[in-house]
Amino acid sequence: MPIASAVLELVPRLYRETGLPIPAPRGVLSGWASGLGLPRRGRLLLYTGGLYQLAPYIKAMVSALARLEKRGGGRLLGAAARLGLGRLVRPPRSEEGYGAEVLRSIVALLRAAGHEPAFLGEEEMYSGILLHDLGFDDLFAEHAERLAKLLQASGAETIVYPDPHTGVVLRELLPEYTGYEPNAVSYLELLDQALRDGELSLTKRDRGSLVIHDPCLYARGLGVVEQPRRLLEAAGYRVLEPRRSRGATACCGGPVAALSPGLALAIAEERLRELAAEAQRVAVLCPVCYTSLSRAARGAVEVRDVALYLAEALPAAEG
Amino acid sequence: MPVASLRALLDEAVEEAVSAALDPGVREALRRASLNALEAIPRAERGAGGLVEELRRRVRRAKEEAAARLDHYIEEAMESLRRVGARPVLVQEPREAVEYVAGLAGRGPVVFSKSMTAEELGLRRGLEERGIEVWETDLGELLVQLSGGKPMHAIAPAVHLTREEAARLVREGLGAPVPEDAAPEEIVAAVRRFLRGKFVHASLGVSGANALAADTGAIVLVENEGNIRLVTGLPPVHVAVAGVEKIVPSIEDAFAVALLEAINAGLYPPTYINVIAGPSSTADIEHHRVRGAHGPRELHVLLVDNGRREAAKTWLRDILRCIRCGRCQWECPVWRVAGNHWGGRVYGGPMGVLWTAVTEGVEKAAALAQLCLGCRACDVVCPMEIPLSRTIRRLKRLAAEAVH
Repeated sequence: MPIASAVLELVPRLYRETGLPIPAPRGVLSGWASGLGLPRRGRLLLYTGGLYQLAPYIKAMVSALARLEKRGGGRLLGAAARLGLGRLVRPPRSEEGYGAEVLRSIVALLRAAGHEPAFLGEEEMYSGILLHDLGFDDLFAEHAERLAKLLQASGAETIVYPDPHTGVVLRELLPEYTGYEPNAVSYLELLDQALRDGELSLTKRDRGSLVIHDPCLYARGLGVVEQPRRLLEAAGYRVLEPRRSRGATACCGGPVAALSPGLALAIAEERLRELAAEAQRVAVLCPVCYTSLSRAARGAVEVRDVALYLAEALPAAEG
Repeated sequence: MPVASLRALLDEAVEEAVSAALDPGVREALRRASLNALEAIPRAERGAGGLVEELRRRVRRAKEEAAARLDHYIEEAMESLRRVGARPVLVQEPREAVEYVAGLAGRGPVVFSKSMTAEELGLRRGLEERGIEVWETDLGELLVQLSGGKPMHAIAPAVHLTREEAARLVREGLGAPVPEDAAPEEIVAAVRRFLRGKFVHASLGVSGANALAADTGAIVLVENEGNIRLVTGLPPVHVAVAGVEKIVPSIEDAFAVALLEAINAGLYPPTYINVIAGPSSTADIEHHRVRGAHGPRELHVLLVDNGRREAAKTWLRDILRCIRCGRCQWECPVWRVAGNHWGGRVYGGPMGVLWTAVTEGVEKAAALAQLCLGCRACDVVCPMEIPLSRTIRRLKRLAAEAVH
């Protein structure tokens, strides 16, 4: 029983109520940074867009929707929504901290490269990307205006983003919808530059092989392709290429997971098959790819974020 | 757009795509075919060398020009067709086309070469419903006809069928003695034997057109099987069905389309390119022109509108450049698991969603568009540089506006 039309109605409703497109606890966007001592203001602002923090909840939501798609369909989803979806979509404890762990690794890597990023704390806003991707242009346009104001008011010279969807919002959509063109770079670009300038040192030792999964929007939109490869190699990983890679990379299926978890899983399985043909370790560069591919991998193949692999090579981690 | 109908269309679209994606047979067949395409197409491109870029540029320019002044080129093409003795007819919608062709068919048999535009018109089924015997002669399309299903790819309509299924269809559908574990060669030979008689006795041959040159009225058709030569050469009457977007300014442009199609089908050079400009004729006796020598004595050309002229005036115009090579399908992750069960009744994949918008309306296409990943893989491979994902997202907006 399809749930697509029910989800399409649910997303804007949830967004209006909470500012987020899916059910997640209050404070989810800022909690990860506690204890890091990140300043509120600075020349370099780490704007997360919220996707990493939401990833465990997205994954839990997709699992719940997958059960509904198999059995109850849209009607049951409507009933569940009225009862409060929060209870339905709690991620398992083992996964709840995934986004926080990646973001903290990104901060550690940036610091090792000589950058001290600022972070907006409780003011941090969701990027709005799902509203855009589902076609809710009016909602996204309003959201984009608020986001543009927030980022402009931060006074930062450079905004660093952790994932490709947030990158697309900053580099393509804010200019298109609001006229504001922030100077935005991927954290991988910053790390790569620091590596080449000799300001980032990663402990290079043989760390075995892994296969890299390029996110569509890095490879076909933002030009972040060689940087993660150079960084992984500098840390001593042997980077293998799947059949479809770089500009020809294949999508993980994540963007349709909310409308059809079954279709998304089939797409993720096809992609995982290509990746696992090269190695049993997959480096992903995007939280959406993580949720899709880890769902398809069912624990049989290791799927982890590139920041986690790189953080292992920080001198502090090496002890 | 009414919410209730959009909800139903969206849920239907998901249901169809998911059931195809969950069918292990379909998945395996699509996987094998797309991997083969991934090797064959670059090989053909290497074979054609520097010609590829030249062809792309030329065809893009020709198609842009034709779409920008569509009515002008329709007029010019019709004049040119009349000049060479062909009979052009502009049809607005499917029923008109079915009635026109039924009027020419007599009692048949009618032989078809593969045409997606004929499929769009429901031409074969329309004739069959009128009791006329009809045979598809492209092997893949014949298998689709025998299975009662729909073509699964613009160029490779039977990609979803395994050889065992093909053998069963030919055995049961044609009564040919083909064993269960028949090799592809045996299946092809059995089909060849069966269709020979149909070609010879056909009252009418129906073909598509890869391109139609406005300056000369020349129809260009590219193929490898040889069935198009027989369909367009043996019966006394030939009907060519061409969407009006197939019209290009010149005969050179039309050849460029055919070559580009061949490369994108993964075979270069193509085995056959057919040029047809009017019915067959001879002036060998007293230099008196007689229509109908060894080839057809009549050539009818159905120029199909079915939403295209309207689309040419809107933001959907870019899709009229599409040469339906199916490159976007091979790369689309949704298509690679669902085949043409995503994209519309006739056309599938990224280009299919947009062709559905043109030929069946934006409401249905808006529902289908919601399943697009926005991954931009189609944009990168489209030889016509059609902004597929961007145009599909514009359709998503219509769906979102309807529920919001």
